[in-house]
Order: sequence, then structure tokens, then C-alpha cells
Amino acid sequence: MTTDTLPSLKLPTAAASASQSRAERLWELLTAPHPSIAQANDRRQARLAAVVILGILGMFALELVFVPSQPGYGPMAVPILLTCAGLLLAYGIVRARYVTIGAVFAISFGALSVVGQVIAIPPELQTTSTLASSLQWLVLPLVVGGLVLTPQTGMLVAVVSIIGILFWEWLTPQDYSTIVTGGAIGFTATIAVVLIFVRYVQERYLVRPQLQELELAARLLERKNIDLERANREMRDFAYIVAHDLRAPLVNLNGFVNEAEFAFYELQSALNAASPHLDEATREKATRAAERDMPEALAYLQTNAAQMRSLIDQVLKIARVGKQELEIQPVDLYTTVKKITTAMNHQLDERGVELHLGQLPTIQADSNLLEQVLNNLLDNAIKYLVPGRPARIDVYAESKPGEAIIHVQDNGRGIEEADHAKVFQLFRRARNVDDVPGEGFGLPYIQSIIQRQGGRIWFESVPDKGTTFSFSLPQSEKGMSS
Amino acid sequence: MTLPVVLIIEDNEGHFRIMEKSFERFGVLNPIHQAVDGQQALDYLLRKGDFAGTALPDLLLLIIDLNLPKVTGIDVLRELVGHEHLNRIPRIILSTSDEPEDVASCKEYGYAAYYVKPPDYIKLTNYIKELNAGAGSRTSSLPGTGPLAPPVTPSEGGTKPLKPRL
Repeated sequence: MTTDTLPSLKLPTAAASASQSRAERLWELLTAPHPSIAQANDRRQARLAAVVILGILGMFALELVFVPSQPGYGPMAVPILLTCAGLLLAYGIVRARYVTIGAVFAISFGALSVVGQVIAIPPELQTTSTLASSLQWLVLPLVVGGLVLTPQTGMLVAVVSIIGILFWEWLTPQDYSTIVTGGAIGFTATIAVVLIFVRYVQERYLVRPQLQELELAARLLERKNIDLERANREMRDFAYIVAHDLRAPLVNLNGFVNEAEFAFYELQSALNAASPHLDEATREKATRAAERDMPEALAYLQTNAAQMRSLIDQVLKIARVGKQELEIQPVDLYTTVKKITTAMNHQLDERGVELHLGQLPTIQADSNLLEQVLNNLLDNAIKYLVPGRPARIDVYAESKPGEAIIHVQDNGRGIEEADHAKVFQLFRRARNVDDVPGEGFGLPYIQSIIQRQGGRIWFESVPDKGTTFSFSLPQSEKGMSS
Repeated sequence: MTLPVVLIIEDNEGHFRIMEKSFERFGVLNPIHQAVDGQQALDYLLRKGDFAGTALPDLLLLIIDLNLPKVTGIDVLRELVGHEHLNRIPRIILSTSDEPEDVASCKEYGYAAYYVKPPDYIKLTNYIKELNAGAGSRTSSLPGTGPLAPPVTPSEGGTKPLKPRL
């Protein structure tokens, strides 16, 4: 599987909107010749918002033309306020994050417009019917607000309001406002239908394609995860095969080398006994085989079989880290370091190491794994000191938000730039350490166990000046305390 | 008096030969029988197939390799538990694997010791000699399930190469 099948999901960035005014951004969105997916979506949203705004304004225009002279209908504040509400709403649609705020504002402005109209109508002209006609201005924003929240809420509000207005009309004696209330019903219902349609269009052409894209991305990601999981499993299976299929012949190799050795010693004593009876040339050949060639061959076989066994064991050990159960608990770093350095006292004294322990608080870690890490780093620090130079090793920790970082610093021989890449590679070693026995296992291994705990390990080194190995371990909120 | 049999369930001929030769060298006189896979081991123990109609010899010890073709060592262990007379025979697990899962599943069925190959042959031989010495009372003193004393954990399983004694 390749990565290029993954569609890029570009989201509008904050930076783009910060440098432009909203109007400029809208204009750009509406006219950009080759929009990205995100831009295209924004453009469609902006168009929808424009339709909604024009729709609302159009309704007001119609209403003003056909019912121009109702008593108390006067205050232009009503349509203006409602237009504001519509604009806010449109803004809410464009900026999907604020859609709820837009709905709340629309409803609030609608409520305010009712209050405004009630105040504006002279008390002597106020009837239940004028109140009813005022209420329509609340109905619209309620419908709009409801639609923005969910289509079902919007439709419910629309239906309830229409029934409510009809019922109110039926209850109250008609005076002058049949047209107004009738208009209100038609108006509200029309707006509701338009908005439901808008909502549908929005769902169908905006939300759904995005959801589909997201779903596709999620599916691809899931497939990738499965692939990764499988790769991991294959790796573990591979380690298992290494362990068993390689160990079995190795057992024979070891066993029969020992058998050969037994047999060889038998032959050797027989040769000693027979030696005087052999002619000069044969004796010389036999002696060379018995005293030089055979012991040499056996020794090589034995050491190499042992080495191979050790390598196989190490591969297994590192492969198993991923399966290891963790036991994260508070661990006192100071006590842990002290325990390790006490055990290393002999080496430290022998090399005349000046050991400095800095701030070492209690951290959260798997104590067993932490000990292995520190043990390995300290052991390395001692091993690669420069003979004859006053040696100093510092161990200290610092706490960062969410993690603890522990440093082990030495003034040893350092690691050359060219060898940096080898440091965490299995069975690879730097070139300047040939005099120190080692297999190139320790650092890759502790890297695995640090990563297993969610941490990182890195180093800084200056050749001939020293090296600082640092590793981090994730800490939860209450993690580090002194 | 004939000594009881040590049955080695081992498919790897080399592993079997090394063990057999070590026993010979360190003075184990018991007859050694080999089953080359789990199925043959079960036939042998349950007197079926090729072994039908013959009597099961007196068995001192079972040495079981885990990684066997077809019927595995674990399958053999599982089968043993169901047979009172077989379940009493002490068993030593020999495996190239020190996977915790393998050790755990063996532990479930009980063993005298779990050795990672190659085992310490001297230790193994001494154990057989001890069993021989206590052969009269072993059925009562050695329960078939649960690790027998001294339990040997895989990490202690000898990896020291044998040095010839001259």
C-alpha cells in the first residue's frame, strides 16, 4: 500500500483568516479559480449563507409591500434586527465553529424585536392579535435557530408555531390583523421550508462529502494500523523462529563439539601410547594435528557457538520488550542510582571516578526497567573513560511538563560524529572502542525499553571531552515531586 | 533387577544422541527409550498403535521436548494429566524455548524441572540417579502435578558447556 492514496484533508488555517478581513476572505473564497477541498467547502457555505440572507431580506421586502399600513407595524427596528439575526446566523453557518452562537443570537434578536414591537404599538391599539403578530418575529428566529441546531428541532418549532398561531387566531375575535397573521403563517412556513431545504443541501453537499472523505481517511488509517500490527506480529514471529529454529541446530553444534572433544582426548592418549611405533613423518603429522590443529579448531567452534547463542539470546531479548508487561509506579531515583553505584563501587574506585549525584526526585517508571537503563548508562560511562585522566560522572534529572529527563554525563572518550548513527543500532559499535569488550547490544536494548515506557533516549558527545546520555520518561500530572 | 525406563520424547536425533551419550558417560544404566514425536509418545504411554497389546514398562522419568511435530510436548503433558498411573511419573521439560508462555503452559500441567536446551547433563544425570535410589517409594513421594523439589527455573537451566574430565 502506498501513502499517496490518502486524500489530503486541508482545513482552513488560522493564519489565512488573520491577515485578511472577513469580507476579503469571503470574496476570495467565492472567486478563487482553483479552490482546495477546504476552500471549496467554505465557498459552498458562503453561497448558502448568501442565499439565506437574501431570502430573509426578500421576505421583509414582500411583507413591507403587501402589509404596509398596519397600525403599530411601523418600527423598522424589527426587520433590521431580524436582518442582523440573519446575518449573524449566516456568519454562524460560514464559521461552523460558531454555529450555535449564531443560533442563540438569532433567537435573542427575535425576542428583542417582539419586545420592541410591543413597546412601539400604542397601548390603545394593542390587542391579543397584535401580540400574536408580534410573536411571529420570535417564531422565525426560533425556526432558524432550531434548524441550525438540528433539522428536527427546526421543523418541530415550525410546526408547533404554525399550529399555535392558527389556534391563537381561532381563539381571538378578529379585528384587523387577518392579513398580518395569515401572512405571518405563510411567511414562517415558507422560511421553514426554505431553511429545511437549505439544511438538506448543506447536509447533502457539504457535510456528507466531508464525512465520506473523513471516513475514507479513517479507513485508510485503520488499514495502515492493521498493516503495522501485522508487521509487528511478523517481527515477533520472526524472533520466535530465530529462537527456536536457530537454537535447535546450535544445541547440536555445542553438544557435538563437546562430544568431539571427548573423542579427541581419547584419541590423543591413544596417540601418545602409539607414538613410538610410528615413523618420523607420520608422527610429525599426527602430533601437529593433535597438538595444534584439533585444539585450535575445537576452541574456535566452541567460542563461536557460544557467541552465536549469545547473539540469538539478545535478539530475542530485544524482540520481547514489546510484549513485556509494565509496572509503572513511583520510583525514588536517588535510591535507585545509589543502589546501582554502590554495586559498581569496585569499578568506580578502580578508575578513580568522582561521582556527582544532582537532583534526583521520585518519578513514575517501571523500576526494573529503569534500573536496567541506569545500570547500562553508568556502566558505559565507566567503561569508556579515558585511562589516566581524572574521571567524573554526573547523574541528574530535570522535570519538564509531562516528562522527567535523566542525564548521565561523563568526561570520557566521547563518540565521533561519524559513529553517531551506530550508537543505537543493534550489534554495531563505534570505532574508538575496540579495546573495550562489548557486543553493541546494551544501548539498542535500553532504547527499546525506554520506548516501551513511552520515552526517548538521545545523547550529546564531544570526542575526547565526554558524552551525556539523556532519556525521558512520561509523567502524569502529579508525576514529579522532589 | 532391571532398572525402570527413561523415556525421552525428542524428534531431534542429535539432541537425543547427545543426551544418550551423556547418560552413558555419567553412568546412567537405565534403559533409554525414544519417542520421535508426540503421537508415538502417546501410543507408547497409552499402549496404542504399534505398542498395542504389550505391557507398559516401569517408567522412571519422562523427558519431554516441547517443539514436536504433529502432537506437541504440551499436548502430551495435557494427555498425561488424565491418566492417574502416567500422571505420577516425574517429567522434565526440555526445550529450546524460554518463552514465558511456554513455561507457563507447562507449569499448568506440572513438571519436575524445565530446562532450556542444552541442559546441564550432570545435573540431569544426578536427578536420574536420585530417582533410581528412591525408586521404591517414588510413587508416594513424588506427586505428578506441581513442580517437584528442587524446582528448576528456566534461567537456571544449565547452559555451561561440559568440560571433559580426564
